[in-house]
Amino acid sequence: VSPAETHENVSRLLSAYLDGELTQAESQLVRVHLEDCAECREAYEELRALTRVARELDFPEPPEERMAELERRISVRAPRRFGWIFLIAGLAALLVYALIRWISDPDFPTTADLIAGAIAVGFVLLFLSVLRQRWLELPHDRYRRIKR
Amino acid sequence: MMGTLAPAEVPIAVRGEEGEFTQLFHSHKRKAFHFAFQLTGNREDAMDLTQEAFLRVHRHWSRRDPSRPFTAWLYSILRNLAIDLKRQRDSRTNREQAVAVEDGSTPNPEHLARQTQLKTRVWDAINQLPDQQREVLVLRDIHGLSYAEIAQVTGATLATVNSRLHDARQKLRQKLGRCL
Repeated sequence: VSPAETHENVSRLLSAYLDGELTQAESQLVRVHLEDCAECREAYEELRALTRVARELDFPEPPEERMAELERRISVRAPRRFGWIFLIAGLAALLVYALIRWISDPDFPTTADLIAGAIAVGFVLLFLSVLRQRWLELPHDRYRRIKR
Repeated sequence: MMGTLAPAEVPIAVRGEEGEFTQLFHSHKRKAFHFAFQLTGNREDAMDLTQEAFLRVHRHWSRRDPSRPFTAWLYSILRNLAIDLKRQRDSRTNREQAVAVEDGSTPNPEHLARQTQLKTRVWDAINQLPDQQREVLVLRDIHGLSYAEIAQVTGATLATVNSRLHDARQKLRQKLGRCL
Protein backbone atom coordinates (compact mmCIF):
# COMPACT_ATOMS: atom_id res chain seq x y z
CA VAL A 1 0.00 0.00 0.00
CA SER A 2 1.47 3.34 -1.06
CA PRO A 3 1.64 6.27 1.41
CA ALA A 4 -0.98 8.09 -0.68
CA GLU A 5 -3.37 5.14 -0.40
CA THR A 6 -2.75 4.90 3.36
CA HIS A 7 -3.46 8.61 3.66
CA GLU A 8 -6.70 8.18 1.73
CA ASN A 9 -7.74 5.17 3.83
CA VAL A 10 -6.93 6.87 7.12
CA SER A 11 -8.81 10.02 6.19
CA ARG A 12 -11.93 7.85 5.75
CA LEU A 13 -11.33 6.12 9.08
CA LEU A 14 -10.85 9.27 11.17
CA SER A 15 -14.53 9.69 11.99
CA ALA A 16 -14.90 6.12 13.29
CA TYR A 17 -11.51 6.40 15.07
CA LEU A 18 -12.81 9.41 16.96
CA ASP A 19 -15.82 7.37 18.06
CA GLY A 20 -13.75 4.35 19.09
CA GLU A 21 -15.55 2.19 16.52
CA LEU A 22 -12.52 0.76 14.72
CA THR A 23 -10.87 -2.62 15.12
CA GLN A 24 -7.59 -2.77 16.97
CA ALA A 25 -5.63 -3.08 13.71
CA GLU A 26 -7.41 -0.13 12.12
CA SER A 27 -6.89 2.01 15.22
CA GLN A 28 -3.21 1.17 15.18
CA LEU A 29 -2.98 2.16 11.49
CA VAL A 30 -4.64 5.52 12.18
CA ARG A 31 -2.53 6.20 15.29
CA VAL A 32 0.73 5.60 13.45
CA HIS A 33 -0.36 7.66 10.44
CA LEU A 34 -1.46 10.59 12.62
CA GLU A 35 2.04 10.84 14.06
CA ASP A 36 3.46 11.54 10.61
CA CYS A 37 0.66 13.33 8.74
CA ALA A 38 -0.03 16.96 9.68
CA GLU A 39 -3.03 17.16 7.34
CA CYS A 40 -4.79 14.18 8.97
CA ARG A 41 -3.89 15.51 12.45
CA GLU A 42 -5.54 18.81 11.60
CA ALA A 43 -8.60 17.04 10.22
CA TYR A 44 -8.79 14.90 13.35
CA GLU A 45 -8.56 17.94 15.64
CA GLU A 46 -11.32 19.67 13.67
CA LEU A 47 -13.52 16.60 14.02
CA ARG A 48 -12.88 16.53 17.77
CA ALA A 49 -13.73 20.22 18.07
CA LEU A 50 -16.88 19.68 16.02
CA THR A 51 -18.15 16.82 18.17
CA ARG A 52 -17.33 18.77 21.34
CA VAL A 53 -19.39 21.77 20.18
CA ALA A 54 -22.22 19.50 19.01
CA ARG A 55 -22.31 17.84 22.43
CA GLU A 56 -22.61 21.25 24.10
CA LEU A 57 -25.48 22.53 21.96
CA ASP A 58 -28.51 23.71 23.89
CA PHE A 59 -32.04 22.90 22.87
CA PRO A 60 -35.41 24.18 24.03
CA GLU A 61 -36.90 22.45 27.03
CA PRO A 62 -40.15 20.55 26.50
CA PRO A 63 -43.26 22.56 27.38
CA GLU A 64 -44.10 21.51 30.95
CA GLU A 65 -47.86 21.87 30.61
CA ARG A 66 -48.01 19.54 27.62
CA MET A 67 -45.70 17.02 29.28
CA ALA A 68 -47.94 17.01 32.36
CA GLU A 69 -50.97 16.57 30.10
CA LEU A 70 -49.25 13.63 28.41
CA GLU A 71 -48.58 12.01 31.79
CA ARG A 72 -52.23 12.45 32.72
CA ARG A 73 -53.34 10.86 29.45
CA ILE A 74 -51.09 7.87 30.04
CA SER A 75 -52.21 7.48 33.65
CA VAL A 76 -55.85 7.45 32.49
CA ARG A 77 -55.08 4.77 29.91
CA ALA A 78 -53.16 2.53 32.29
CA PRO A 79 -56.10 1.28 34.40
CA ARG A 80 -58.23 1.00 31.24
CA ARG A 81 -55.75 -1.45 29.75
CA PHE A 82 -55.77 -3.57 32.88
CA GLY A 83 -59.57 -3.29 32.93
CA TRP A 84 -59.64 -4.94 29.49
CA ILE A 85 -57.23 -7.65 30.63
CA PHE A 86 -59.38 -8.47 33.67
CA LEU A 87 -62.60 -8.34 31.64
CA ILE A 88 -61.30 -10.71 28.94
CA ALA A 89 -59.77 -13.08 31.50
CA GLY A 90 -63.03 -13.10 33.48
CA LEU A 91 -65.16 -13.79 30.39
CA ALA A 92 -62.82 -16.61 29.32
CA ALA A 93 -63.03 -18.18 32.78
CA LEU A 94 -66.83 -17.86 32.73
CA LEU A 95 -66.99 -19.56 29.31
CA VAL A 96 -64.85 -22.48 30.47
CA TYR A 97 -66.92 -22.82 33.67
CA ALA A 98 -70.20 -22.77 31.67
CA LEU A 99 -68.86 -25.42 29.25
CA ILE A 100 -67.84 -27.71 32.09
CA ARG A 101 -71.24 -27.33 33.75
CA TRP A 102 -73.04 -27.96 30.43
CA ILE A 103 -71.02 -31.09 29.62
CA SER A 104 -71.47 -32.52 33.11
CA ASP A 105 -75.25 -31.89 32.99
CA PRO A 106 -77.32 -35.18 32.80
CA ASP A 107 -79.46 -33.58 30.07
CA PHE A 108 -76.37 -33.01 27.87
CA PRO A 109 -77.34 -33.78 24.25
CA THR A 110 -76.39 -37.13 22.73
CA THR A 111 -73.92 -37.49 19.83
CA ALA A 112 -76.82 -37.77 17.36
CA ASP A 113 -78.31 -34.53 18.71
CA LEU A 114 -74.94 -32.77 18.29
CA ILE A 115 -74.59 -33.96 14.67
CA ALA A 116 -78.11 -32.84 13.83
CA GLY A 117 -77.41 -29.50 15.50
CA ALA A 118 -74.19 -29.05 13.48
CA ILE A 119 -76.06 -29.71 10.21
CA ALA A 120 -78.78 -27.23 11.16
CA VAL A 121 -76.21 -24.57 12.05
CA GLY A 122 -74.43 -25.26 8.73
CA PHE A 123 -77.67 -24.71 6.79
CA VAL A 124 -78.42 -21.47 8.62
CA LEU A 125 -74.89 -20.14 7.99
CA LEU A 126 -75.06 -21.02 4.29
CA PHE A 127 -78.46 -19.35 3.96
CA LEU A 128 -77.22 -16.19 5.69
CA SER A 129 -74.10 -16.13 3.53
CA VAL A 130 -76.09 -16.39 0.28
CA LEU A 131 -78.51 -13.75 1.53
CA ARG A 132 -75.62 -11.37 2.34
CA GLN A 133 -74.02 -11.97 -1.05
CA ARG A 134 -77.29 -11.19 -2.84
CA TRP A 135 -77.67 -8.01 -0.80
CA LEU A 136 -74.13 -6.87 -1.64
CA GLU A 137 -74.69 -7.54 -5.34
CA LEU A 138 -77.89 -5.48 -5.46
CA PRO A 139 -77.42 -2.19 -7.34
CA HIS A 140 -77.21 0.51 -4.68
CA ASP A 141 -77.85 3.66 -6.64
CA ARG A 142 -78.92 6.38 -4.21
CA TYR A 143 -80.18 8.49 -7.12
CA ARG A 144 -82.35 5.74 -8.67
CA ARG A 145 -85.57 7.39 -7.56
CA ILE A 146 -84.69 10.65 -9.28
CA LYS A 147 -86.35 11.08 -12.69
CA ARG A 148 -83.80 11.73 -15.41
CA MET B 1 -49.15 12.18 36.73
CA MET B 2 -48.38 8.52 36.32
CA GLY B 3 -48.04 8.36 40.07
CA THR B 4 -51.69 9.28 40.52
CA LEU B 5 -52.61 5.59 40.54
CA ALA B 6 -52.93 4.51 44.15
CA PRO B 7 -50.62 1.49 44.71
CA ALA B 8 -53.38 -0.54 46.30
CA GLU B 9 -55.64 -0.16 43.25
CA VAL B 10 -53.50 -2.29 40.95
CA PRO B 11 -51.95 -5.74 41.39
CA ILE B 12 -48.21 -6.08 42.10
CA ALA B 13 -47.32 -7.29 38.58
CA VAL B 14 -49.23 -4.43 37.05
CA ARG B 15 -47.64 -1.94 39.44
CA GLY B 16 -44.22 -3.25 38.44
CA GLU B 17 -44.96 -2.86 34.72
CA GLU B 18 -46.35 0.63 35.12
CA GLY B 19 -43.58 1.58 37.51
CA GLU B 20 -40.97 0.61 34.95
CA PHE B 21 -42.77 2.53 32.24
CA THR B 22 -43.11 5.61 34.49
CA GLN B 23 -39.42 5.50 35.30
CA LEU B 24 -38.46 5.29 31.63
CA PHE B 25 -40.92 8.02 30.73
CA HIS B 26 -39.36 10.40 33.23
CA SER B 27 -35.79 9.55 32.31
CA HIS B 28 -36.40 9.81 28.55
CA LYS B 29 -39.02 12.53 28.05
CA ARG B 30 -36.50 15.38 27.74
CA LYS B 31 -34.18 13.44 25.43
CA ALA B 32 -37.13 12.32 23.33
CA PHE B 33 -38.36 15.88 22.95
CA HIS B 34 -34.88 17.08 21.99
CA PHE B 35 -34.49 14.33 19.40
CA ALA B 36 -37.91 15.17 17.95
CA PHE B 37 -36.91 18.83 17.86
CA GLN B 38 -33.65 17.99 16.13
CA LEU B 39 -35.56 16.06 13.48
CA THR B 40 -38.37 18.54 12.93
CA GLY B 41 -36.73 21.83 13.93
CA ASN B 42 -39.98 22.94 15.47
CA ARG B 43 -41.18 22.90 19.11
CA GLU B 44 -44.82 22.31 18.35
CA ASP B 45 -44.13 19.39 16.02
CA ALA B 46 -41.54 18.04 18.46
CA MET B 47 -44.07 17.94 21.29
CA ASP B 48 -46.71 16.31 19.07
CA LEU B 49 -44.21 13.64 18.03
CA THR B 50 -43.05 13.06 21.61
CA GLN B 51 -46.62 12.65 22.78
CA GLU B 52 -47.53 10.21 20.01
CA ALA B 53 -44.34 8.22 20.53
CA PHE B 54 -44.93 7.74 24.26
CA LEU B 55 -48.58 6.83 23.70
CA ARG B 56 -47.49 4.18 21.18
CA VAL B 57 -44.84 2.84 23.53
CA HIS B 58 -47.42 2.60 26.31
CA ARG B 59 -49.94 0.91 24.01
CA HIS B 60 -47.42 -1.78 23.01
CA TRP B 61 -45.67 -1.98 26.38
CA SER B 62 -46.78 -5.51 27.19
CA ARG B 63 -45.58 -6.77 23.78
CA ARG B 64 -42.16 -5.07 23.82
CA ASP B 65 -38.95 -6.92 23.01
CA PRO B 66 -36.93 -6.85 26.26
CA SER B 67 -33.70 -7.55 24.37
CA ARG B 68 -34.05 -4.29 22.42
CA PRO B 69 -32.77 -1.20 24.26
CA PHE B 70 -35.58 1.15 25.21
CA THR B 71 -33.82 4.22 23.77
CA ALA B 72 -33.44 2.57 20.36
CA TRP B 73 -37.13 1.59 20.36
CA LEU B 74 -38.32 5.06 21.38
CA TYR B 75 -36.02 6.86 18.94
CA SER B 76 -37.01 4.64 16.03
CA ILE B 77 -40.68 5.44 16.70
CA LEU B 78 -39.86 9.16 16.83
CA ARG B 79 -37.87 8.88 13.64
CA ASN B 80 -40.70 7.13 11.79
CA LEU B 81 -43.19 9.72 13.02
CA ALA B 82 -40.88 12.51 11.84
CA ILE B 83 -40.58 10.89 8.40
CA ASP B 84 -44.38 10.64 8.16
CA LEU B 85 -44.72 14.27 9.19
CA LYS B 86 -42.17 15.38 6.64
CA ARG B 87 -44.02 13.49 3.94
CA GLN B 88 -47.17 15.39 4.83
CA ARG B 89 -45.50 18.78 4.57
CA ASP B 90 -42.20 20.39 3.86
CA SER B 91 -40.87 20.84 7.38
CA ARG B 92 -37.74 22.60 6.17
CA THR B 93 -39.71 25.79 5.78
CA ASN B 94 -40.74 25.65 9.41
CA ARG B 95 -37.43 25.26 11.23
CA GLU B 96 -36.69 27.20 14.37
CA GLN B 97 -33.27 28.17 15.57
CA ALA B 98 -32.31 25.78 18.32
CA VAL B 99 -29.35 27.52 19.78
CA ALA B 100 -29.96 31.20 19.45
CA VAL B 101 -33.69 31.26 20.08
CA GLU B 102 -35.21 29.27 22.89
CA ASP B 103 -38.81 30.01 22.06
CA GLY B 104 -39.87 30.45 18.44
CA SER B 105 -42.43 33.14 19.28
CA THR B 106 -40.58 35.24 21.89
CA PRO B 107 -36.79 35.32 21.60
CA ASN B 108 -35.12 35.60 25.00
CA PRO B 109 -32.33 38.24 24.81
CA GLU B 110 -30.59 36.87 27.89
CA HIS B 111 -30.53 33.41 26.40
CA LEU B 112 -29.38 34.76 23.05
CA ALA B 113 -26.52 36.55 24.75
CA ARG B 114 -25.34 33.35 26.38
CA GLN B 115 -25.08 31.44 23.15
CA THR B 116 -21.81 31.55 21.33
CA GLN B 117 -21.72 32.35 17.67
CA LEU B 118 -19.99 29.07 17.05
CA LYS B 119 -22.83 27.00 18.47
CA THR B 120 -25.30 28.82 16.29
CA ARG B 121 -23.19 28.26 13.21
CA VAL B 122 -22.69 24.59 14.02
CA TRP B 123 -26.41 24.01 14.48
CA ASP B 124 -27.22 25.89 11.28
CA ALA B 125 -24.73 23.72 9.43
CA ILE B 126 -26.18 20.52 10.96
CA ASN B 127 -29.65 21.67 9.92
CA GLN B 128 -28.54 21.99 6.33
CA LEU B 129 -27.31 18.40 6.13
CA PRO B 130 -29.40 15.86 4.19
CA ASP B 131 -31.92 14.15 6.51
CA GLN B 132 -30.15 10.79 6.65
CA GLN B 133 -26.81 12.35 7.50
CA ARG B 134 -28.32 14.76 10.01
CA GLU B 135 -30.13 12.05 11.98
CA VAL B 136 -26.99 9.92 12.23
CA LEU B 137 -24.89 12.88 13.35
CA VAL B 138 -27.50 13.96 15.91
CA LEU B 139 -27.78 10.44 17.32
CA ARG B 140 -24.02 10.06 17.61
CA ASP B 141 -22.73 13.50 18.58
CA ILE B 142 -25.65 14.89 20.55
CA HIS B 143 -27.27 11.77 22.00
CA GLY B 144 -24.10 9.70 22.27
CA LEU B 145 -25.51 6.50 20.74
CA SER B 146 -23.09 3.83 19.52
CA TYR B 147 -23.00 2.84 15.85
CA ALA B 148 -24.89 -0.37 16.68
CA GLU B 149 -27.63 1.58 18.44
CA ILE B 150 -27.86 4.06 15.56
CA ALA B 151 -28.20 1.11 13.17
CA GLN B 152 -31.10 -0.17 15.29
CA VAL B 153 -32.84 3.20 15.26
CA THR B 154 -32.40 3.90 11.55
CA GLY B 155 -32.58 0.36 10.22
CA ALA B 156 -29.30 0.92 8.35
CA THR B 157 -26.24 -1.32 8.40
CA LEU B 158 -23.17 -0.47 10.49
CA ALA B 159 -21.24 0.33 7.31
CA THR B 160 -23.94 2.74 6.18
CA VAL B 161 -24.01 4.44 9.58
CA ASN B 162 -20.24 4.81 9.43
CA SER B 163 -20.33 6.19 5.91
CA ARG B 164 -23.18 8.65 6.58
CA LEU B 165 -21.46 9.93 9.70
CA HIS B 166 -18.17 10.37 7.86
CA ASP B 167 -19.88 12.26 5.03
CA ALA B 168 -21.84 14.44 7.48
CA ARG B 169 -18.73 15.41 9.39
CA GLN B 170 -16.80 16.11 6.21
CA LYS B 171 -19.56 18.46 5.06
CA LEU B 172 -19.56 20.23 8.41
CA ARG B 173 -15.79 20.61 8.31
CA GLN B 174 -15.98 22.10 4.85
CA LYS B 175 -18.77 24.45 5.86
CA LEU B 176 -17.33 25.57 9.17
CA GLY B 177 -13.70 25.51 8.14
CA ARG B 178 -11.53 27.63 10.38
CA CYS B 179 -14.33 28.38 12.86
CA LEU B 180 -13.48 25.11 14.54
